Amino acid sequence: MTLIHIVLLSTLSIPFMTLIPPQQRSQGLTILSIAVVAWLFAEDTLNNSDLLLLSITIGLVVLTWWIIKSPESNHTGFQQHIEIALPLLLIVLFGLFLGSVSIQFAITYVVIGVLTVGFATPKTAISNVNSRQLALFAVLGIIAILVILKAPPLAEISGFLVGWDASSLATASPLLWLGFSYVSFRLIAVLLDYRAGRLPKEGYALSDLVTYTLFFPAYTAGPIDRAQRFIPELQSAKSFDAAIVVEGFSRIAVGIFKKFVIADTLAIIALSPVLVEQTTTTTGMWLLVYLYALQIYFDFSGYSDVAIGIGRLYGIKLPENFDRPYLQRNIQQFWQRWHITLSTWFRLYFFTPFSRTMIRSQYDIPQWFIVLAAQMSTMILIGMWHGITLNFVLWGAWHGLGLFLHKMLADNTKSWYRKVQANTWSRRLMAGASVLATFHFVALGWVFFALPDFSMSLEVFGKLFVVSN
Amino acid sequence: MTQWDWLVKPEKPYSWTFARNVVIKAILLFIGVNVVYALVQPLPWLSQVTLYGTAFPARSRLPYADNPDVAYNVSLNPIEGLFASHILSESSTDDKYQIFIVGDSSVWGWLLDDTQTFDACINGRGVVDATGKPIKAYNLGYPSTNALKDLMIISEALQYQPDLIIWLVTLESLYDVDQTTHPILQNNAEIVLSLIDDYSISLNTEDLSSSNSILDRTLWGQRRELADWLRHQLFGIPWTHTHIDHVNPRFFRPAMENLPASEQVTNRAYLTPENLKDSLAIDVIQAGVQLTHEQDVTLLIVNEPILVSSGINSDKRYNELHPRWIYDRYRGLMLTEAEGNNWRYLDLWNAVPAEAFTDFPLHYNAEWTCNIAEEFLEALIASNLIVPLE
Repeated sequence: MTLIHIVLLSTLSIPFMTLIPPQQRSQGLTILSIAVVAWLFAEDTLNNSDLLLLSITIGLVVLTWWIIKSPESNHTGFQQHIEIALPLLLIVLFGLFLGSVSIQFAITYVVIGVLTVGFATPKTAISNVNSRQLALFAVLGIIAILVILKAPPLAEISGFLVGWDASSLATASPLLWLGFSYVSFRLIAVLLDYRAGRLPKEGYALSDLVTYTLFFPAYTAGPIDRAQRFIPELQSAKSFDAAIVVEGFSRIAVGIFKKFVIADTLAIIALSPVLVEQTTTTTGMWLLVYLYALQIYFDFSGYSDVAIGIGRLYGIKLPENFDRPYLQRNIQQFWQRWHITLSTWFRLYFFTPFSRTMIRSQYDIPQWFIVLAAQMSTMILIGMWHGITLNFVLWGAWHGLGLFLHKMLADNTKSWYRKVQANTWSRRLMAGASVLATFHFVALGWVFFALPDFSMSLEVFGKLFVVSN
Repeated sequence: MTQWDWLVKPEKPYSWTFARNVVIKAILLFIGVNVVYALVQPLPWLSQVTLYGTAFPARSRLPYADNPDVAYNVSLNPIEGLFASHILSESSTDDKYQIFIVGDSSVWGWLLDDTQTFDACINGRGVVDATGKPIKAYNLGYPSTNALKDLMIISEALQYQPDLIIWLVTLESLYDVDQTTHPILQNNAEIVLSLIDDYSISLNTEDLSSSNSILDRTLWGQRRELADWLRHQLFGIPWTHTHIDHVNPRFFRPAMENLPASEQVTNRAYLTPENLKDSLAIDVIQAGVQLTHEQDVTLLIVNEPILVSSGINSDKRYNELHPRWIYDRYRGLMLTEAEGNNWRYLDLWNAVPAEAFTDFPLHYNAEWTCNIAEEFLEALIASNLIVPLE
């Protein structure tokens, strides 16, 4: 979201919350979320591929809703289908009016839309087991799309295939599916929770699920909320009071300052491929690394602040995503305070089930190996969620190794640690040293994250640790 | 306890009165800060605050960049800011003969590193003045062909006590209709208007008079300048560790040698042999002569080299900028003024071969930059101002 998006959407919250009755705000948020996401997709102009991707996104939500819906549920959804179909139809008409959407696409779109609306018919009697299998297939399908998007060679091919605009057919371009990383995780969470029996029996209303998935403040960069928390929050009609206004606008102001003032300024002089090549001194290279660590924190946490602030203005309390991560004393605490919703998601849906499976395995797997395998695989997957490249894998492995070593160290130095904690000065010294060490560990890990290839990362490490002035 | 408890768990619940008071106070604060700023006008002295020379090494050229993010450089407008980060600001005058070189992008060193410019060539030459003091040259070029801009820079530079100023001028820098239009002049209007007044320069000052509205004097109105000042300080970091202050492209469009058939200067069809003298701001150069004379500073005026093409239509034009008849008349005018007003004048108009020029009829390569610097030194040696070291 740009500054203009933020200002307009923040300002829009005032008429939205004052003019729309609380009981109808959830429907209003559904329509608004679809419209805003379409706006975010469009950037300069809404074209066929933007609409297609938006529609597929909503289609995936509809599919998810249908899978988790109980046959006995009274969420027939016809009215809700209108709430979703109507804004989409208006967007198509708007695109036709502007000339950026072709008539052929519009007709195809309407046909597909009608077919999708067919899901409004009651779910046929399909056993819960089959539904749970469908949920698994859906999860695998979403993961497959994610892999295609994240692996550069596959993304290029898919971009070419989906490039409906004639001008883009001549060249293959990477498919830019705005926000899909977050959409996919929200839907996977719902499907896995459904399989685990953690969802309400009757499922959710379609419009609520659409709002949860497309909630515009958090659409492009999180936080990743859970449906069980978000939807009841959505349903609870809130009065538009001073607390909402003060908390919302304050949070937005802080976020804007962090992202657009601090982070965007640091971006000019932080670690980048160009500066890596140009910088020859050790001091300079360390400066670049430190500045990047600060830049990525202020950028991401600032954006989360804006998202949480805008959500608050619309009556939704989104979960926190950052809590002073660079002031933590070990890597485990860091990951409890950095991109909190992502690490929580992975802990819930991968780390814990994976560890449990290994623990309950018929093979006598050593404890240390379980810890190592679980932490390494979790962190590598987190790396690959950002992009399926060697550098992201290495970044994940770096943190996985750090978590493992921290666990081994912590388990084996408990008595020594207690002695250190008993004395004020040694405790303070330990705290300071731990924070510094953790920060440097994380900062060095960012070298892999920030740069496009391994050889450049090695070049950075070479300049960092071979003194040259 | 999270870092946001102060916001979401206030001691007293938020009220609409509280929210209203915050908004009112914010608006009043914003207005108040802008009013105070407009009255105090801190930009000139703030521009002198710099990390260059302390946290970062000073720059050897005046700050300028078309693409700041890759050149690690910013075009600053306040004249104080231009000099604050320059190596000149940390120089002492006692033990050396200071030569300042003023002019356009050819002096600044377009498409050259700061180790390839006139000043670098002179400093590497190893010469002393007539009293035996080593010579130190400084680059005060600024990428704009504008004599009034040069005059402004000269007037500011005099506080650093040069012994000699070499001022490169050309026809392109003297069109009177262009003299007051550059942003750097409009942003330093007071200084420029004072110079115009003091030396009775006949120019239309409308562009300068209208450039300072009330809004332009506020914090809001000067936010661009303040942002540039801050960025300029931040760029000290990559400047220190990369020594990059200018992006040299690997490929550029060379200056045209096959020329259009027109015998007019582009967009200056009004120029005729009869009105050419009145259309050139040669009195700006005369003002520079007077100004430096008052401060007892030697001024060497150089008619800088231009590309002399031998391509198509080169019988009508020297290059894409200069039809032959206009440029020849200009040279004649300059010679007449120089002789009549006793200028120390050096005409190097055709001193550089066409193949040495780069992207523009005034820009040439590093080798010929040093060759032209040699010409300066030869002229100074001939005047007994300097002597070469054996």
